[in-house]
Amino acid sequence: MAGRAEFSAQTLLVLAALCAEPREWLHGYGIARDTGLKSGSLYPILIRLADRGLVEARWEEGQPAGRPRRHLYRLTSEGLASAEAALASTPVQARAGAGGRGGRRVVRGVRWAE
Amino acid sequence: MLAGLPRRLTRLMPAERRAWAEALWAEAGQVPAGLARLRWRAGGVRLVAREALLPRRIGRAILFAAAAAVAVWAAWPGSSASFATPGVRGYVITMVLLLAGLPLLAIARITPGPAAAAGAGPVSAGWAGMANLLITAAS
Repeated sequence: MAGRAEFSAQTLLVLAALCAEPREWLHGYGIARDTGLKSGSLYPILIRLADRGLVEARWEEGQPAGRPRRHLYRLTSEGLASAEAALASTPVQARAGAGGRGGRRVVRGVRWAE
Repeated sequence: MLAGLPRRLTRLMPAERRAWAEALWAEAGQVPAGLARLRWRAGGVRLVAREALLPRRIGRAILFAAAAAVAVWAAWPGSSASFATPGVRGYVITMVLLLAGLPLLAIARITPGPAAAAGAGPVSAGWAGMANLLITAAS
């Protein structure tokens, strides 16, 4: 089982965002908005999580009008278990990067200032 | 020309990683135009650079280890009867350990961040030292 020490603070933010709606497929920009991470930080994290089998990815089905197809992500069952274990042992507050919206969000017990 | 740049950059990545960069480029249109979109795309360039250079970094490490082995083999004094032999052996071992250790130390001290760039100086110094060792051994 994954513990807190296995994940960086930024990775925990991504896990928390994915954990908020574990059944839903999320896209990269949405996760970036939720976490305040920049694309150059977010995607390497997603890649590492996918390499470890904690995140699964797929392309959006069909061709949406007016925009390219999106790559979608969600936690695998193993990823969900690891994320919940890691988030449960996380210090209450983690600070997201410079981006993001104002206010404060709480996702599955992980709270961060934006 | 600029429109095709992301696709060209993506080709620098290993084939199994390209979908990730394509995903990032595909999302760029959803990011508000202006600085935010520019930053998003800059992140894509960073991702490509990171993923394209990582396998090469591993290759360089193997090359470095092979060069170190050759340097030791070439510089190792043949006769233990020589007065200077223990000192020379000590010099060879110290030099190789130093050359191998400096880049690792630089990366360990500076990670996370642009570790590769920060480690480039010690790595270059290591290669120079290795060349120096080989020239010294040959002379």
